[in-house]
Amino acid sequence: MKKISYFILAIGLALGIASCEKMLEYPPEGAILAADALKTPDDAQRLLNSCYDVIANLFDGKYQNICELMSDNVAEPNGLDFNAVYNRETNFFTPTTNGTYGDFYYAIYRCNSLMKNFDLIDGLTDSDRNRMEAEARFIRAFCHFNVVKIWAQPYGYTANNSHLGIILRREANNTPLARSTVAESYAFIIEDLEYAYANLPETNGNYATKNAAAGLLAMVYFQMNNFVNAEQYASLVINSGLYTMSDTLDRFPVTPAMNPETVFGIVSSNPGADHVDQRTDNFIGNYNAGGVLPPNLMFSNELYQFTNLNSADDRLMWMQSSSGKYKNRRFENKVFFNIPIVYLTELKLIRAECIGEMGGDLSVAINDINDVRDRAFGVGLNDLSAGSTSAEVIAAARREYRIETMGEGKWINQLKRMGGKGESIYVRNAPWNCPGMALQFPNSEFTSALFVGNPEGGCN
Amino acid sequence: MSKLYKTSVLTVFIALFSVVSWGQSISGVVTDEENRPIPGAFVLVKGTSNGTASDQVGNYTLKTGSGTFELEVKALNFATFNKTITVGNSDVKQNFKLSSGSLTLDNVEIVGYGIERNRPSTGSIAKISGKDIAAIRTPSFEAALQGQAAGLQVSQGSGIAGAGSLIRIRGTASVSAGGDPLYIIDGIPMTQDYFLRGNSGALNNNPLATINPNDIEKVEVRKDAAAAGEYGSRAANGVIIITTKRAKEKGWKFDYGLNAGISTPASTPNMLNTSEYLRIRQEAWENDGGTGYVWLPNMSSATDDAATRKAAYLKAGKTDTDWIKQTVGRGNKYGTNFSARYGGKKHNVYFSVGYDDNQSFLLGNSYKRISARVNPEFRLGDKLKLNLSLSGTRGLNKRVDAAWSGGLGDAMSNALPYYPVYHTDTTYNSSGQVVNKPGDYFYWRDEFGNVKNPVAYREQLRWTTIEDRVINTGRLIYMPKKNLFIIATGGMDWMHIGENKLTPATFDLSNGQGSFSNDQRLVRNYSYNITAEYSKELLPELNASLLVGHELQHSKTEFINDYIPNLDNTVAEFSDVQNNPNTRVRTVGNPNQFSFLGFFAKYNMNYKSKYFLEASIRRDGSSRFGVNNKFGNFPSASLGWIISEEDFLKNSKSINYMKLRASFGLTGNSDIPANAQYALYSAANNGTYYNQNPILYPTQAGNPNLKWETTKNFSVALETGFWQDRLTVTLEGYRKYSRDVLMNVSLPASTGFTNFWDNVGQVLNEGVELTTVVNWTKNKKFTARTSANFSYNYNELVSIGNYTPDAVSGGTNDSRVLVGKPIGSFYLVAFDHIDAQSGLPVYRTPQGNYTTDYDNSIRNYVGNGLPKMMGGLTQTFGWKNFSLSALFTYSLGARIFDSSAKRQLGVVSSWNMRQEILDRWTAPGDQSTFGRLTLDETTYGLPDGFPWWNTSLFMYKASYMRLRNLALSYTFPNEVTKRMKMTGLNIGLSVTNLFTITNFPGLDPEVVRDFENAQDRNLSPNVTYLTPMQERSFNIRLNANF
Repeated sequence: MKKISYFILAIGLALGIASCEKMLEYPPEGAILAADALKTPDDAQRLLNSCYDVIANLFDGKYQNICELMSDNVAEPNGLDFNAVYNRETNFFTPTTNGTYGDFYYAIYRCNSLMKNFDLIDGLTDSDRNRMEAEARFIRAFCHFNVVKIWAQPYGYTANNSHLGIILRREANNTPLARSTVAESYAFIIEDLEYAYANLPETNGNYATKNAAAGLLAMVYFQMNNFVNAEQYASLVINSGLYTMSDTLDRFPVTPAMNPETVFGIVSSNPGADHVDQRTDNFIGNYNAGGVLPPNLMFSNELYQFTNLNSADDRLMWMQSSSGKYKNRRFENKVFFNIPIVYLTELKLIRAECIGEMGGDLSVAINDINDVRDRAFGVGLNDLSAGSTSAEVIAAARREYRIETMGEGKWINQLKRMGGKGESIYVRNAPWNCPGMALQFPNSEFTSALFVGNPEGGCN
Repeated sequence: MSKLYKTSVLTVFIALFSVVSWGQSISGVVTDEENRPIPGAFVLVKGTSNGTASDQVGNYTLKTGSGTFELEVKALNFATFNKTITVGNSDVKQNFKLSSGSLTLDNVEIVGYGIERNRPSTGSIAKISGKDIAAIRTPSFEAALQGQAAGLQVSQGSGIAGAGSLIRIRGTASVSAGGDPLYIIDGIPMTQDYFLRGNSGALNNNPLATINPNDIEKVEVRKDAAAAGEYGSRAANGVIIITTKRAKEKGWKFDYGLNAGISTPASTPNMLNTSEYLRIRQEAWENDGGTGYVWLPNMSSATDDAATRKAAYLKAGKTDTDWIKQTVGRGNKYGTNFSARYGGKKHNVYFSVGYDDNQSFLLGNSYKRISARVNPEFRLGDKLKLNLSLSGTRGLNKRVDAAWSGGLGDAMSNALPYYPVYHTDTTYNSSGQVVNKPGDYFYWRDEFGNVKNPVAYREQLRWTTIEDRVINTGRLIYMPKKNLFIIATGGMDWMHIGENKLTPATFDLSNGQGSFSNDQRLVRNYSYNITAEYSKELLPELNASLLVGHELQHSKTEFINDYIPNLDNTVAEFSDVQNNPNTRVRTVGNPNQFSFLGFFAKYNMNYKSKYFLEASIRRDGSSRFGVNNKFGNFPSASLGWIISEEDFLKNSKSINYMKLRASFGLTGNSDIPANAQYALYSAANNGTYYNQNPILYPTQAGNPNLKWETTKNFSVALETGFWQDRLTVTLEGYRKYSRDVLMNVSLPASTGFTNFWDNVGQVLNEGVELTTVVNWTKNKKFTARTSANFSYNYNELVSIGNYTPDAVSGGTNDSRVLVGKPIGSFYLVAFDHIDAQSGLPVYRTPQGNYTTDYDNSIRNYVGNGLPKMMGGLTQTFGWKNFSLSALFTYSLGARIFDSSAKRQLGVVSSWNMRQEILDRWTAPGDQSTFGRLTLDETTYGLPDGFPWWNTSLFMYKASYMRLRNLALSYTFPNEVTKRMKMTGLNIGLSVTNLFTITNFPGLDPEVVRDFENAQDRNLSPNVTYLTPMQERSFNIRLNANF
């Protein structure tokens, strides 16, 4: 009995010291547990702001540069990664494209997390909730759209667009998914944007508005060669009267000035603001290398010759000759500037081309084109004549589009769109639909057995 | 130092030529009252350090010389026996019969949680004495375990001072969780974080580097569920138990040791010289269609005109720098150790101080260890005893860059032989100003734009890592009544690592600004355990004991970094930093902490000392797992049967000992990062705002269901002794099946996260082990003993759930998880041959087709880095007072992926190349190892801008056998030592890694790279990337006892 009591004593001592399971709880310091993160409307607003934050990091030139490298606008670059994109030989180890792809899905996950957790937030009004959901879906659509444009073959690559598109993330979870088709991808993007258009406010500071959704819808429909819808949404924005063409050619004025034609864009906050915030790194870093080294990215001779067909074009000032290539001067001597993503010039040129394609009131299209030309050449100095044909309107719209957006990463998707429409398009001697024209996905996507990558190479 | 060498050499000379007639000995058998042999009994000449231990059948031989000696015979669980014996001109036979006394506070010894009993174990335990460990001069003590035990894989890191080894017991059972064994020192778990400093300077932290090998009494390697089971939840990869020395005998004893040696590389890289490199490069240029002279990195460019290229080429030809010689040389080693032991009536103490200065063959690199230890024991009355182990160590590591980080790594890659170390003439800029004078360092840029010159870095960079380590344990042993022990053990392992790095302004060619960084890590690891053990004779000859216990551990790691940017060129030394007014920017990292809580019980029965049964159960909790899965249960059971005690074998003339044992149990692993279970958000403490508003965002996916990785462990063994143990053979077989294997899987980027911890995999390890010892001679003057061990292990990753091989990766993008293949499999584009007509590499697709297009989609399993068989062989000869011992180690069946070779033997680039490249294709019809030389990676089908050629061309067979250690020692006879007022004097010479037999064409077939994390360490142990070679050291050692 005495022996047993010794054991009971020993065990009791052991259990007494350690009965508390709290000894096994050490939540990390300096981080917030997900369960505690979203409690107030302010938390939700901060999470939403972090989605914009990701987009701001992507559109500081990072995404645009990749797109530009795929086009004929730039000369052969310096740097291993850029070469892989330029030569249409990305593989699943290419860091630049992998990082960019991942960033889009960071934003998407955050938007999905916000929408998943609305019910946890005390005191969230219905109107705030609707607005936040509309903003989240706007960003989700924006991200999916930018991914599908360059990681999949374009709309029109197959007759019914049943070819592989991208992974569509509708919910915040870790489940590996298979790629949807391009048709499904565009349908989901439009579904999100239509919701956003219906629920976003007319004005929303620097964040997404009803017109931002409309402008983006115009761009999406245009990418699908759906000219009727593209024209309608473009007109909604243009006719809203909220945006005006800037007097100057500089689309990237130094902050705090805001380009008045901006419908949606990325903002930087210059010194003097409470929180200095520069979202321009990848533009200035790659186009404006200081000192003795040439910039990583320079415009191609072909783009210069194209622009110089009319030597009176003021936009030639954006290009400076250097050893057979052309320095991009659009960001010269700037650090803090805002970056328009949806803006009037592009929407006008989209509308002009749509009208040219559909038939209709060509004078509207011609006016749109001349709004752009007046700024580049001086009012009336190089106008498209009033009697121009549809074909002339289309050609002029495309020409202005390419020149206006040089360095902004938009032209490659117009080339792909034209290819998808059935035109014979070659980009630096490679057909618009060769395998390497769709970027390879990151290595991590291949960790799921459901995933099918893109074929590589085959363009050169 | 040279004086020391002279003295040492002189002493050896005297020793070798001393002719002494001395050889008498006392020998016999130590048995219990029933004439059963007692293994491990100590037979000592009282008052001296001259002693020996009985072998497995109780035999002992003690050399004494002639005279009268008072012998003391001690064994655990037996009463000490004293006898005075006179030895004349011939040997004396003396058997001892010990009477079994019960355990007392005086003779109780604790290993693990329990009392060490003098009875056969039912588990698989390999014991290695401290003496055997200290006898091999290695950068860190654990490397000396190599080849010493079956089933124990020890791969020594590299020759870098302070580098650690990779240790695996019975294969690799883990994928992303730590695969190293659990280390217990004097009863408490040690801090064993290999990644405390990440991979800074291509050197992982070695948590064992601060242990002074001279303080180690013994090391136990516990392999199976029975032996490791008492550490159940943390024992999936085995347990290594280190016991430090204590005073055992009465009175004062002093030991003094001195050693000195030199370190040289065991092999040397065979890089091209300038004329060879230029020839190779020119040929590549011409193969690619170039005309005139080839352009040269950092001298000219591809777009330069022909004249400029020619001038650069001719200028380059005038310099020929052997960068290997500029970074590798000879290191000196020196160590001294002093210990004192006092055994009193009530108290005793062991005390030691040690100093060890270990320079490696990498110029400028050294590891100094200053250590002190006090292990006192206090008797507090009749029933209570207190043991303390107190140690403090400072490890001072003078760092140099290695591997990818620079130094020798540069010499093996971007340091082209035509770069001079120093400018030889004056250079001017376009304005005519002097840019460089003769004698200035010549700097170049590598392909990533980094400024390089390993000599300049070594001479100007100030870089030290200082590790301070205090490991203190205390143990109260309370014996309230006969056969009942209550033992409470508590300990702290406190580790502070401070890394100081001063990068001088001279390396910043653009802005001329330097920086200073002080990086600190503090780990405080506390633990205690308390056990109660009671033993009783239940029936005649049926003895049983029960142990219950409880354990708690808590560890916290803190991170602080102080950084001073923008230092000008006046700051060249650490002392200059102190006076610099620039502001320190302090970053305090988030601490991480974990805790561990366990309850356990063990029941032990033995009948007639012939049949043994042991059963144990643990219930353990870990803070690293999700709320519902913190606790796991870990039972084990084992049986032992001494067959030689049965009547049918008792009188066998050939078999004197035979034991069969078997065990089954569940062991676990929780060695993953502290916070993997949590889904986390960040409010951007770095002050990120967008559009003037704050942000909040998710940072980690989290997995609340994370749980223990568990291994079912089955083991069976037969131990046999023949002809009074002239030959002993132990044969073991095991099967380990691990489930819920923890994997840090790469998540598809489209989930919004990069990785996620999950219990996914299943892993199988099975194998056999054979250990044999042969005592060839009975002649006492000449002894020959062979000890050999052999292990075979089969490893297979049985399942990875729904993931693909790319879900978990390691190495340099070469290792993946492949179902049906071992952990550590190389997943590469398979190289088949060089096409004799075109000179182009031809790859083999998984379908067996041939292509010249390198494409990741045709990657395939091509081999793996795990050895199939390995082991060691120790041959010892003794003649009179001389002893010669040779330890051979071997490893068979592993492959090495030589990741440096893909640049050193691939596309001709801004890397220097190896001599093997000379065997290349030059004209149609050539049969060659390497293809047509090219400067353009697309020639080999590689993507543009991607010269990292991950093909099986660079995977090599890496079987080897090496003479790990060769040692000659001489023990001075008693007559001599007595005259010198000593009780013992021994002197020895040794060489490590004298030669290696291998077909591996790279640097060294024994390789442990610097790793990124535990997963990398598990997955790609046999990948080398500019990894330094092993060390060959020549050593002299002297030990004196007073």
